[in-house]
Amino acid sequence: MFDILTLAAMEGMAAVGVGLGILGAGIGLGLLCAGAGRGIGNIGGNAVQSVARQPEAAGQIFVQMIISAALIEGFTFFAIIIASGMASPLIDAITG
Amino acid sequence: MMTSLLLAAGDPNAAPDPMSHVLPHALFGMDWFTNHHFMSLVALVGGVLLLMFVAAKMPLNASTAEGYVTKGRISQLFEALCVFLREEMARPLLGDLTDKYIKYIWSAFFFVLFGNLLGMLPIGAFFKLIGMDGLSHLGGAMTGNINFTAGLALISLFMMVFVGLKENGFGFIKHMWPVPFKPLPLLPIMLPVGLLVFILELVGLIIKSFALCVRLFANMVAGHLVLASLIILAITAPAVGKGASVLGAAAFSFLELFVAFLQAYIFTFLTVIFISLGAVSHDEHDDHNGGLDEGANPGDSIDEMLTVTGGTAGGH
Repeated sequence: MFDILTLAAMEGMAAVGVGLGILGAGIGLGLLCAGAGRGIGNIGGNAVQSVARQPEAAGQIFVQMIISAALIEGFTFFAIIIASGMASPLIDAITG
Repeated sequence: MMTSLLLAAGDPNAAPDPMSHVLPHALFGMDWFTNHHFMSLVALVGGVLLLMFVAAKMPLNASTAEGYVTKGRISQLFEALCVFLREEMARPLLGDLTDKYIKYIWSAFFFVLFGNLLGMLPIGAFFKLIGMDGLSHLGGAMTGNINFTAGLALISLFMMVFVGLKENGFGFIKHMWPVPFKPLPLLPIMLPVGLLVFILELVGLIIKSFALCVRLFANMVAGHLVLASLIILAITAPAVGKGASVLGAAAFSFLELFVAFLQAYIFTFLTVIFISLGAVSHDEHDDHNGGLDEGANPGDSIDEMLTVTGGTAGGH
C-alpha cells in the first residue's frame, strides 16, 4: 500500500518535524533570555538610580534588588529546564 | 576548582555527559538509595550536629552581661546568621508569632543551605581519583533533585495552611472569600465571581508552594549543569579549552556559592511571607508593621542589642 516514495517522504517529514521542534525550543530559550534580561536590567537600573538619589539606603536597596532578581530568575530557570527537556529527546532522535 | 582536575582525571575515552553530574545515581548496589538521599542524610546529620554544637556554646545562665556572649568564632557566626534571620526577616513579617515558628524557619534555612553547599564538594570525583570507583557518584546537590525540593515545598505548604488555621481558625478560609453576603439581591451576581476568586486563592496556595519547589530545583540544576559543561570543555576541546575551563569553572564556582546562600535565603523568606499572609490576623493586617511600634525600623532591635549602655564596649 505504501510505496517507497511515500515512506521516504514520511521519514523526511518526521526529520523536518524534529528540526522544527528543536528550532522552537531554541527560539523559546532566546525569548526567555530577552524577557529575563529586560526584567532584571529594569530592576538593576532602578536600584542604581535610587542609590544615586539616596546613598544612605544602599544596603536596603541592594537587598531588595537581590531578592527581586532571585524571584525573576526562579521562573526563568523553570522555563529553561522545560525548554531543555523538550529539546533533548529531539536532539537525541537526530544524533542517536 | 579542584573539581576541574578531579573530574578531568576520569576515563579519557568515554565522551563525558554533563547531565550525569546532576542526575541521581543508585549507590551501594541498592536500587532506590541514590547519592541525593545520601547527601540529604549528610546535610541532616551534619546540620543537626553543627547546630547542637553552636547551641552548646551559648550560655543560658550567667552572672554578668559579658557572661552571655557566645563562645567561639564558629558559634558566633551561626548565631549572627540565626539572629539576622529572626530579627530582620521573620520579625517584621510575623511579629509576635516569630518565636513560635522560628524553629521551622531556621530548620528550613539550614537544611537548604547545607544541601546546596555540600553539593559543591567533589566527593565522588575525589574517590574516583584515588581509584575507588564504587564510590565515584557519592557527592551531588540534593536540592538539585526535584523530589527533595518538592518534599521541602510540601512541608512549607503544610506550615502555611497549619499556621493559618491554628492562628486564625476559620478566619483563614474566610479571608479567601472575597465578596460580602450582605446585599442579598446582588447575591446571584456576586456568588460566581466570589467562587472563582476563592478557587483562585486555593490554587494560589498550591502554585506558591510549587514555585518554591521549582525555583530551588532549577537554580541548583542550572548551576551544576553549567559547571559540568565548563569542566567537560577541557576534555572535549583540549587544545584551546584547558585554561578557560579551569579558570571559568573556578570563577563560576564562586557564583554558585553565592547562589547557594541566596536560594536558601529566598526559600526561607518566601515561606515566611506566605505563612504571614495566612497567619497574621486581620486587625494587625491594617498597620502591618508586624508588632513593632510606630516609628520603629526593622533593624532597631539589633541596634539595641549591640549598644552596651554604660558597659565595657572597648574591652576587646
